[in-house]
Amino acid sequence: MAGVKLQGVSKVYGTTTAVEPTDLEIKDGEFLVLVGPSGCGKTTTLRMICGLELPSAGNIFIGERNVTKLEPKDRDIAMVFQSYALYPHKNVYDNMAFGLRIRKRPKQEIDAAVRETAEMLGISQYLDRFPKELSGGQRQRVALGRAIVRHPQVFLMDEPLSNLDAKLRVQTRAELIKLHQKLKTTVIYVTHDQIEAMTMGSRLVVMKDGLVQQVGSPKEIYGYPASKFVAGFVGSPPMNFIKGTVEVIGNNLNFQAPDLTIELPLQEKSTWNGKSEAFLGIRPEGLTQVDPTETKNCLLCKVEVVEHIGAEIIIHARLGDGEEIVIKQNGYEEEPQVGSIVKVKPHQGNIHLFDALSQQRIMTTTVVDGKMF
Amino acid sequence: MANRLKSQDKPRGMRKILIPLHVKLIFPSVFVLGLVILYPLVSSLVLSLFNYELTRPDEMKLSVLKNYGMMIDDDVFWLSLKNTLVFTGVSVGVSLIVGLIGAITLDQLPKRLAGLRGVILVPWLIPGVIVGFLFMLIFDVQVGVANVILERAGIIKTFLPWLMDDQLAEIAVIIANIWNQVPFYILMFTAGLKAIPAETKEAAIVEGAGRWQEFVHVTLPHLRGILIITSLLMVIRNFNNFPLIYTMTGGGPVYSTTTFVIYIYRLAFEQFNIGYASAVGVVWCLVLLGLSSLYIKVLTKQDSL
Repeated sequence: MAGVKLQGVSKVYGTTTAVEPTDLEIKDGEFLVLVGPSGCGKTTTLRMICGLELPSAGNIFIGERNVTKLEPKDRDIAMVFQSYALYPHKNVYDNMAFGLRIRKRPKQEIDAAVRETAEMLGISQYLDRFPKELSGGQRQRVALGRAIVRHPQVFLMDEPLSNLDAKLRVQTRAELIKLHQKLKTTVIYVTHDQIEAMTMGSRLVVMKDGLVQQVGSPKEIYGYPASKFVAGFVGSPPMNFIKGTVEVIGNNLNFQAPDLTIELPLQEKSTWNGKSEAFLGIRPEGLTQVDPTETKNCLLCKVEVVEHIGAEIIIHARLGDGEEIVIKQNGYEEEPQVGSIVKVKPHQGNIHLFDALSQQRIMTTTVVDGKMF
Repeated sequence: MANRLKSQDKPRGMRKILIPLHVKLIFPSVFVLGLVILYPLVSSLVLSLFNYELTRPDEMKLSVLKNYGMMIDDDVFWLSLKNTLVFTGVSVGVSLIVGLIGAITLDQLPKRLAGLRGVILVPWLIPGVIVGFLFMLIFDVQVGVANVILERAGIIKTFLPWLMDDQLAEIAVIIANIWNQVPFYILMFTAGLKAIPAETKEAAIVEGAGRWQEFVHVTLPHLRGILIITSLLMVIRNFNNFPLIYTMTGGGPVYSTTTFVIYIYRLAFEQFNIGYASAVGVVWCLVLLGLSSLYIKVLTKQDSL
């Protein structure tokens, strides 16, 4: 068991940079998730840690060892592929035993390890079967078993749940978390699914276009996104963004948009003065319906679609200037009529301001029961 | 579109049979094929029962099993069978290995050398007769390239009488055949290699497999199906190989490079013993039938391979 360190690791293909120079430190026993849209560089990064790709620059450390130039087999890592990549001509037992046999472990040791792992994953009864005789979920466990049996220092997983149906995915997610708690091995997990990332990772690395946008715990990423991209990527339904201008007036930061004026208490002394274009970010669950008589910090919108999910109701509305807004409310409360005009106001959670040009976060205001801090 | 019974137009007893359109359309092709395939087949079967020599047509008479009996005692018959087996076995065996190595090497060529793949195919495109002539020149005793290279390399002291010696001629013909056919194997195996999922190979590498182990445990099992089918196909093809051998050696010296097919030809058109040639031909047909059935059976069982 060991931590992993990346120092200035980058990958360039010809004139395209797949991964910008990246520094990352993964603690021993951590479950780190690399998350981002397709093409963001997360799989390339994982493959570089695995040894299937050579970094164009930088160093990779597993524990104290510099493994940058080492073959995958010398890094003491195990990888679970998206397609599971089981050996189709070997049965489950041989699939799991392959790695140990290559390393010339004694027969009894291999047998004990394979059977113990199979027992742990609930696949003992499939040891004689071949991959094509197994369901997707069973194959996935064999792929996991194949990785676990070698007791590596680091587990690398490349979207292992993508090929499972929704229900199985949720179930397997929980099982993977339990497994990690039991084995306590460092896991580096790649996914494009932000829900998977949020539920499984102890820390998330959000990537876009080869660049690390933010590194933090799920709570930090959700509550304090470093950029507009991260804010919109994590959370479902995604955060609402309203474009407007920002101006310092006295002790407040005034956000001005058509049909909306919000006064936010100034958090820290900002470095800029005068007006600048910005996006206001509010999560759907942060908004609530208010009395039409309210005037401060309100938004007026017209309800277009109302979705019932059971515990929640998702309301799609349109602001006066045509911008769309999404509101999430309790499923047991009364919902507004389609076509009606409602007034909403931030009442909980965080409101963020993002600079329109750099897309970086300027400020976050926490709202509790309608009061801003 | 259906034909109407025009029974009312014709006198009693003559009614038009209802023939569907698709049968009418297929009929010309089937007729020609039947003429070209069935007729010689049946004709050979019939002729094989006769003692029929072209030079003495008047003495043609039915002697049902005489020709078949002759085969058992005919040394050349058994020699030609042995030659066929050796020729086919060695050709296919060596081509398989060379083809596999070639396909793997080609697979790992950098992109800029991709044009080389087209060049590799050239020997396959040359007709058997031309290949025969080509290698006749190569293996020529006095001016052939083979002897010159071997002598310069110090492997031989005097020029070898390639096509004039029993065993050397066999070797020469097999070499020519391998040269002609290896590209086909390379083509088939390249397709097979491309079908192997990259992630499976990567999984083996991550687990610690070296290049040889990855080849044995991942690549080879994936190629098994293609290996078997290609081999069977080429066995059938080589059993039938006529132009290359006949051009190069005519089946000689004497009968040392005479395979089954060549023996039938020589019986019919050098010795003019049509009856006997037909009988050997019938036996030949049965052997091929067996091989082809095996091929089709294996082909349809591909999924389990």
